[in-house]
Amino acid sequence: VTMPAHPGTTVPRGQSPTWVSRVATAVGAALFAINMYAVAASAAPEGHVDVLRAPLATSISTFEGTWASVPMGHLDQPLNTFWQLFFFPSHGERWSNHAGQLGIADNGGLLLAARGDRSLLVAVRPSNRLEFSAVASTTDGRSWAPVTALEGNPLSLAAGADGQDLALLHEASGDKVLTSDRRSSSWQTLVTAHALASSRPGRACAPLALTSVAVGASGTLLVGAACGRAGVAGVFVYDHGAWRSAGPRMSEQYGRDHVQVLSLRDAGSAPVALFSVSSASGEELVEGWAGADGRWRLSTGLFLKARDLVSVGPTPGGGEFVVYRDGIHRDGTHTEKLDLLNGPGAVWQTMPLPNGTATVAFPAPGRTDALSVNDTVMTDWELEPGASHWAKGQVTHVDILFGSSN
Amino acid sequence: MAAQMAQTPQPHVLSSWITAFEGFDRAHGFAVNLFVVIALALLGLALLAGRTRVLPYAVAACAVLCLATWVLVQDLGFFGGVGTDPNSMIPVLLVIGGGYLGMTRVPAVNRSAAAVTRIGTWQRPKERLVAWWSAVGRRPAYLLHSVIALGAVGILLLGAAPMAVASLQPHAAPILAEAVDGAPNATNFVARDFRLADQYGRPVSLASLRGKTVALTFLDPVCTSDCPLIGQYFRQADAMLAPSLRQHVELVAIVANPLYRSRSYLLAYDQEEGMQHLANWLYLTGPLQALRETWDKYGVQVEYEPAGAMIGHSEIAYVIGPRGHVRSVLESDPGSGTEAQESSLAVTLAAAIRSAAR
Repeated sequence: VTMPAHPGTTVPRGQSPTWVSRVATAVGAALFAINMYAVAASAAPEGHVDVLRAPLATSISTFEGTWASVPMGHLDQPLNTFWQLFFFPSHGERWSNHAGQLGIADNGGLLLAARGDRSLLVAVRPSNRLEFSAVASTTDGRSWAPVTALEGNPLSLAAGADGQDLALLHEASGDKVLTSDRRSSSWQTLVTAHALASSRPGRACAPLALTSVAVGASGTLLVGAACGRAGVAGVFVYDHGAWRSAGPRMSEQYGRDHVQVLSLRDAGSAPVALFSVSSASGEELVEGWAGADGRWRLSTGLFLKARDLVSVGPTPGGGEFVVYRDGIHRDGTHTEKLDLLNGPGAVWQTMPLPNGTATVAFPAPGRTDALSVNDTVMTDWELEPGASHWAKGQVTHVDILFGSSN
Repeated sequence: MAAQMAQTPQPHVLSSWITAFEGFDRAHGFAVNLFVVIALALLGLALLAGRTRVLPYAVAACAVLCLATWVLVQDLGFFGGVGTDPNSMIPVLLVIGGGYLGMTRVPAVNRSAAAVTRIGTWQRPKERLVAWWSAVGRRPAYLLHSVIALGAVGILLLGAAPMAVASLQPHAAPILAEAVDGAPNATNFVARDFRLADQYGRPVSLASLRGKTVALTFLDPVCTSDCPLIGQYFRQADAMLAPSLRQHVELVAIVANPLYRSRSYLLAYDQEEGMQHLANWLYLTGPLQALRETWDKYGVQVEYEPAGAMIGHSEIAYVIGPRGHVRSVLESDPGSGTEAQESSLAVTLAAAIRSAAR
């Protein structure tokens, strides 16, 4: 290294010292390797996941109308994914968005539950630096009443007609079920996953995790689980201060398979559940309806991976709809399909869906809507009774404040 | 970032470029990332190797990459965004250019003088100055180079260095807070009274706190970004106060959410942020009308935002002296939310509290 003895004269520097090249090469190679490892790690499959959860996107109906919750914005960026809450009044003609009235950043997603026939209960899952969940109820989406905060991250929410609410909370120490009623200003622990697993019905199931909750019309409290014991389905009923298994007894063909409750609800006076059945040969979905005598009626299996699910929810006939990814386009977008099961005894009906469908809804008798989302645009596609093609309907531009949750 | 920039009002030709690139990036994010990583690695190797045959191509490629980033991501640095990021590619390009000149225009070594000009060999400052002046006399452009180099060093020392040093300090000076929020405004006007209730249901008015120094702010208990940080820097400021002073100080927050304002939400916030352990922490709420009146009295805007965004509200703190006069008004945007940033805000708030308590 020299001082400029003759600054006016310039010459090429020539070859640099070999250690510079070696260090630079080593640093570059290390950085490259680290980046490649990170890329490979992020692109690698998640591996075996024991417990499956139903997707958050869904639709449900109350007496006042139909509600649909869908993610919009930049879906690959959690803090720029904003969940929207669309409402179609019973005697209305258009969907309107009410996510803005929730008064909270909803990047974590929304859990919906119908409180009887009239009102909707919504839990906003925490995101970013928030660690508890805001809960509110409404009948029309315009005015909201706050409900006591849930101190944790809810996985499932249910509400009864008499005002009793039920929430499944995820905690590092284990899931737990909380209950609250309108007279109470706090949530009380009803049961923990550990306690349920230790109970007599729980031991038969050996639950890996609790997955869903429901409240029956008569106030019955239901909890669904992912059973660790093969061939056993975990639906539990809280009855006179104790838990009992509500079945169902899976048929012999599922005797060696692991059964998980993906979603659970009460249809009138008996539980209805969507099960995911996993075996070495694949996965399938099975719907089950409990009868008044406690015996279950199971649907035929729908062969698809629960990880491909986009949305599940109830149909007006007491059945289930399932939206799932069924392929991928060259531009990276997915093809979605819909499978409908219209009630006990029915068979799965498959139909194509418009690209980007996040959920389907049933806003009027006989009518099915597919809510398709693309960034800030929600397009409603309508399938009228007897029609074979989706007709493009309402297009809604959502004014998303990107970056507001960062 | 590109998507945000594209939403900024600007000539269509610019927004269309950025939108097109953002769409391409979304569709082929892995490929774009891979290309950039490989390009940066190769360019880094080329620059560090210093081969004269390669350098011009490497610098040209750097220039293309920097300019592409400046135009397609940083939106020319002035149409969108705030802070220093949007223009960072231009200084980077200048640094690379400067480095290139430094590497390729190295003067020939005067062997006879080398013995006395080796680094580490003592050379009097006067001799250095004479040599430099001689060089300027032979080549006037050398003066310009020297001025630019001195300017760059000056900018670094005056701007970046103190910020970098402050960022490394566990108890940062107010410089970080002032960079984001400006200096506290010293004032002296009568604070408006309010009548609300704390998180435990006890009635609290500002008049009831007379005789104490009050640090007052407005927090949304279900805010997912800034409010948790504001609570933390209030807690840190409290810890910086001498015990004898702390017993005469109240940290007060008023809820800034028209929907989630019940005690259960305030208590949930306290638990989340560990505020329940502070003896002098009050989180106030009340009927919506009373809250609205209080927000208005303190110039705090609270409004619903569309499409699942959190409630928008002013981030401001008032320090009220024992006689009920507002002595300082502080913007309380926690900025990046780093530990140093929070510490800096806490230092600023603690200083304002000490000043108001006198």
